[in-house]
Amino acid sequence: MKHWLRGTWAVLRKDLRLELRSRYVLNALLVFVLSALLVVALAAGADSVDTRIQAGLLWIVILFTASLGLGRAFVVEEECNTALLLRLHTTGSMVYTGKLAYSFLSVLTVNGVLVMAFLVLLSVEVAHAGLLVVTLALGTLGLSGATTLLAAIIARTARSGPLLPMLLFPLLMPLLLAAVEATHLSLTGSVAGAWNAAASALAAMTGFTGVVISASVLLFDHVWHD
Amino acid sequence: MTLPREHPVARSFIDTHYRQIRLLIVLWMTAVLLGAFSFGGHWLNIPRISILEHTARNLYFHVPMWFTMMALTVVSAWHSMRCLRSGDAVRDIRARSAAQVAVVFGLLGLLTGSVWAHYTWYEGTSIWWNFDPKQTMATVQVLIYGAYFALRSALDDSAKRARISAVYNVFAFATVPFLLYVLPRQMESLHPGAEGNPAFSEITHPLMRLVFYPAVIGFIGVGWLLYHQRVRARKLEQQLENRQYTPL
Amino acid sequence: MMLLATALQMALDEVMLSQDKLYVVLAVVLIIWAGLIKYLFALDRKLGRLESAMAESESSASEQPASLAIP
Repeated sequence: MKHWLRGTWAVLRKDLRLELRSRYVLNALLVFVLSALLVVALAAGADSVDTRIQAGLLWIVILFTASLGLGRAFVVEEECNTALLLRLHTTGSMVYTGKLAYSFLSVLTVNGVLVMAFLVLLSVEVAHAGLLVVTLALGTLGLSGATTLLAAIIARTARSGPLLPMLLFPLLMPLLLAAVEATHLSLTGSVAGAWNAAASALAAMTGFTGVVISASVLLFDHVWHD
Repeated sequence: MTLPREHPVARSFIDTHYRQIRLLIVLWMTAVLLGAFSFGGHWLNIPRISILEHTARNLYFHVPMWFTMMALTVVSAWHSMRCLRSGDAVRDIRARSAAQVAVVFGLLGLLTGSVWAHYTWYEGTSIWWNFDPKQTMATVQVLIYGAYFALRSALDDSAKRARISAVYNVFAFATVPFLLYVLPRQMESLHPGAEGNPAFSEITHPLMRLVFYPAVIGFIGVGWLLYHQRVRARKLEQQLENRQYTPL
Repeated sequence: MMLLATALQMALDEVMLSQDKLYVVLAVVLIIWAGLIKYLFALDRKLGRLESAMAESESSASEQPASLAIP
């Protein structure tokens, strides 16, 4: 167990260090998020948009950002020919968990900035900040859990192109619907028991995240090793 | 000197009795069709309900599409799982063929549902498509298989293609139950059995079940026939490819 | 053009809703029938192509000189 944790931490630390050195992914994603938000805000116009649609727009931007940013996680290893080294020194589950932790942290950072900008640009008022934070954290975990395995899959393909969004979107439909529902509840002020109302959506998100991550751990070795 | 044959003797019961099974399914479906269209004083005269009128008979045709698609989805996921465990190429052929036939039934179910709903639930409006939970489910399932086929075409090496597409197939199969859980809470359904709607058993006359269940079995049988032939075609194709690459 | 489209739509509605909507059932059955038959024909064509390719490879294999054949 200790050995496993050390391996996972090593993979995570390596990715974090590489990222901090170049800041390529983080910078690119932040610029993408802000320009996408600007497009959304301008398209929405001056009229205030229904909170349900606001929640939907927020998650659409998150989904596109993740599918752009997380697709590179394993392609980089193949391109730099470091995949073989990783295969030799670590087991599949260490690589998966390390990459998952890295994806989670980077998407969480980007989403934090995104939500701040979203609240300001579309002048949204938050009724239940706690619920919004929990929804975002859970949604980000589920999103990175599913995307990490798919990113490993597309790293093995000859031509990736728009493959990741195509593989990802139909799978994420349940998570996305539940996340929009919970976000919607956190934005509307009228509901007193927002936590109770959001309970089924949060339960669905938790279950989805759990199943996706455990299925990924079980399946990852088949993708990772030849 | 004689050349060795690729497939010596190993022929299963299904292979030797394929024609009989096919005849059975065709006769069975003919009986279902006769049962579905007997009305006006004949046996199996089902009661009329307003709005539905004669279209209640669509129960025998539209709903089995969905059943057949789900059956083939389970078959596809099961063979993908076995393919991951054994690495057997035949498992990959079976998983892919089941997915292909599942898409055919999924599309037919969507199309027939759209026509049926337009003239009953949405009569007098111009609605052909509405995001009903069951409709959305079927659409997502078809999209997943679309992604599955796209992924397959992006992988060149056949062993790698079998393994990695099997991973995706199993992974997608694991997420589908959540759709069943989340969707009905998100949108209203007009299908029976949904919240606030009468259950299937309450609105269907017992006589209808006499045709409905055989229809489900019959259409699953037709789905199996198509699947079986798909598998055979793909096996032949592979045999041919092997011959071309390794000349005797 | 619009007029023609609405006229067609109305005519279609009239047919579909007549006879207690029996023609809706006919439409559904025809869609399924056409879909399955189309799929079956595509499959048959594929099998036919494979059969002829198979026969071709068999005849070319038998034409090979004996010295090239695997003992």
